[in-house]
Amino acid sequence: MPSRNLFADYDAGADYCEITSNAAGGKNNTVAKRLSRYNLRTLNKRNAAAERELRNLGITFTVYSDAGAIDRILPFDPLPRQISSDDWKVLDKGCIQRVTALNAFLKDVYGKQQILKDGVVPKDLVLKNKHFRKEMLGVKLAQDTYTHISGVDLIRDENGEFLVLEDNCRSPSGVSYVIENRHLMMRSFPDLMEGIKILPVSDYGKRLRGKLSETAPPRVQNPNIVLLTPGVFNSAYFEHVFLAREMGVPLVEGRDLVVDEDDRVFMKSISGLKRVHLIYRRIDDDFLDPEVFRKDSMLGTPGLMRALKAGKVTIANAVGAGVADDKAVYAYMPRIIDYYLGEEAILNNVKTWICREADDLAYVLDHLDELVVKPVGESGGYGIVIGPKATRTELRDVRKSIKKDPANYIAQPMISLSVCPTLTPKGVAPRHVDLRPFVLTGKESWVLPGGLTRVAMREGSLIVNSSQGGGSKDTWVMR
Amino acid sequence: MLLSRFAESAFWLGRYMERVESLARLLWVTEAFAADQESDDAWAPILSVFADEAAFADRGKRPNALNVARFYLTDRGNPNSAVSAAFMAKENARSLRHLLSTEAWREISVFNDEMAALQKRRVSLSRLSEICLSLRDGCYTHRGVMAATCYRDEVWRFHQLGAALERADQMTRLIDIKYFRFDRDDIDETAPPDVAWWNTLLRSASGYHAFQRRHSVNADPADAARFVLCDPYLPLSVANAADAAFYQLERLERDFNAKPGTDVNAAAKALDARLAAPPAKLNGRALHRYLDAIQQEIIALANALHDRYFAPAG
Repeated sequence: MPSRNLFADYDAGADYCEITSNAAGGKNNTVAKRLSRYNLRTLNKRNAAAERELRNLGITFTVYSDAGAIDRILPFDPLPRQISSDDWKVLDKGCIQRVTALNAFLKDVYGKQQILKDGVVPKDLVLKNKHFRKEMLGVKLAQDTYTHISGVDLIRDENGEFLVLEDNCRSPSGVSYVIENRHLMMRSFPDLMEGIKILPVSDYGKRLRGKLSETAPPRVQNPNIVLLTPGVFNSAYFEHVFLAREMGVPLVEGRDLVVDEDDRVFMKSISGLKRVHLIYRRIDDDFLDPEVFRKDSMLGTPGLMRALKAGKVTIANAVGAGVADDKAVYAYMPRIIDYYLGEEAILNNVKTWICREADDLAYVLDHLDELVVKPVGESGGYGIVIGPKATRTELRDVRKSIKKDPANYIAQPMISLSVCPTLTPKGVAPRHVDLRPFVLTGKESWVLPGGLTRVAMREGSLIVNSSQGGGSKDTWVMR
Repeated sequence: MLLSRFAESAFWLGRYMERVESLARLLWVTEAFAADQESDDAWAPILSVFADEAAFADRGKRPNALNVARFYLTDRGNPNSAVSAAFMAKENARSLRHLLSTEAWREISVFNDEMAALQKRRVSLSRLSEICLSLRDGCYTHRGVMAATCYRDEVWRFHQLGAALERADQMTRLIDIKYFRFDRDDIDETAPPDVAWWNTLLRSASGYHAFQRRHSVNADPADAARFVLCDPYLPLSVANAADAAFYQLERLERDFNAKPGTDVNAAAKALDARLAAPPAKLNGRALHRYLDAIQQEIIALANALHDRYFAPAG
């Protein structure tokens, strides 16, 4: 069989394509040209080998069942997503601006609450939010940093404009795949990368450790950092392993830590108790400290909140940071950025109707079949109703739910995510992608070049979440 | 400073991988010997040595070669099987994975996949020897990858400590397969010596040729027993394994300020003394009792290690 140009039949249709619609050269893009040298069978074979290696290396998430532990890989697509250096400059600035505003907002709502008094953000939206933690009121944090590690979920609309879909201030996950995908590309497809100048990502662990160290409790020069995991049964355990390894810090569980009467945190080592100054926790607020939050938590350590309030430990991200990434607060982000920074948002939100506001509610109820309705305070794509694709029953149900509790809903227009050429068993085809850059904040913020590109592997699907069958791609920020 | 939990995981990673290796050796020896004898009598003693008679009886099967071999190779319900030990090794590795080299995790993971594949195909007697040797080689790979890639920190020390103790313990059990029968007082002590069996054991412990070099042609089973138990140069000897364990304790104290403490030192000393003073007659009932005593010392040392390093106050 003669080999055909892999891109010969490629057609992104009305969607914005990250390669062919891009100023980066369309089908003459270097990577696209190199890819065309392969035939489909070779490419699929090499990809299968790459995925097998992911499995062997344990770059997996673990699903436990009666049959034992099953390690699954996140499907990998070898066709990289490219971001031009000009686009990246904007994204980098925009992400930093956004995270700066998020931190200022969190400092304010757990301090003077000026933004609430000024009526810019509705009081009850914050104070009655399930992620608001009154225990944090008046607690002073090092560098005033609340969200040390943030993920800004971006999509790209039909015109190629990057829009913020969601903020993540509670242990956003996925960064391990960014780095491992790059390593995998270098191992499995070196010929594709050769000579192309790409910003590096592999120093993330070092950067993370540095940024976290900047937020150590006062007078601690060289803090002992630990990463707190719920344990081996957590589906993101690999990422916890990865981060602990890359930072060179112990990966502890709640039972490994102890807080003494002087509110100091220690870990139980073979040579006795050793002081801990900073905890990068990958467990939710609810489970962190049974003295304060859920009493039945077996995952946390009693006394962590005491230690925090006494200024003897830093917890990253801060307890209560989730109030800022709520979907309801999201709608106010342009105003929040303006309020604290006096700047216009560099990265726009997706147009959002806030159902708690009467005009918006009326519009949403009138246009349900055109809109995407999202319950606030949910994550992972759960509870979302996509109007144009919903059945009558689904629309009727969601209408009922919105009327019953309007404040629990926002709505957005149906936006088609951009696409990226993706390897499928039948050939190279467009698949929808999003982008999650990771922002680290100590004294200042730094953005990992690129971020996690998630790809909906099913044709036409807009759901990129790994919990719902999404895969990922290496993301290249061109120098 | 290493967390106690990681020390324990490293220790058990070492122990479980060594257990797989020893099981493979034990099944290989039994198969090789039994094939000569054309009899199934060789297999039931394994169940006695591991105190598994009741668990095996629950399965309602005859203790013949195939059933016992499967019980110890692929039976997930048997915590003493190779597949269970390999699974436990991986789970321990999982909890200290960020401290292992990526190469070591990869190897453990791949080895586990091979074990799982073994489970799917039915083990046949004709393949038993080949399977045992490939398991053993998988364990050698583990040792090699660990030695080649692991940073020589406390994790390494505890891994080596666990492996060494398990090796010492398992070697006594391997020998005991032939001598456990003397546990009963009514067994005649004057049974003929098991020369052929000892030759097989020496070969399985990679000690046959070295034994030939060190001993006269008149060597008897007692000499072989002394060689496998007390020879300081044989990698798989009990004495060598115990020495390796003691050495790790020294390094933990010297390099990592993790003193073994009174109880661990006392238990180590007791084991050392026991190995230094074998009974004059290393055969029959005396040998069985000696093996039993060594096992008791190893258990006491493991308990002392647990109390000292793995379950600290706090």
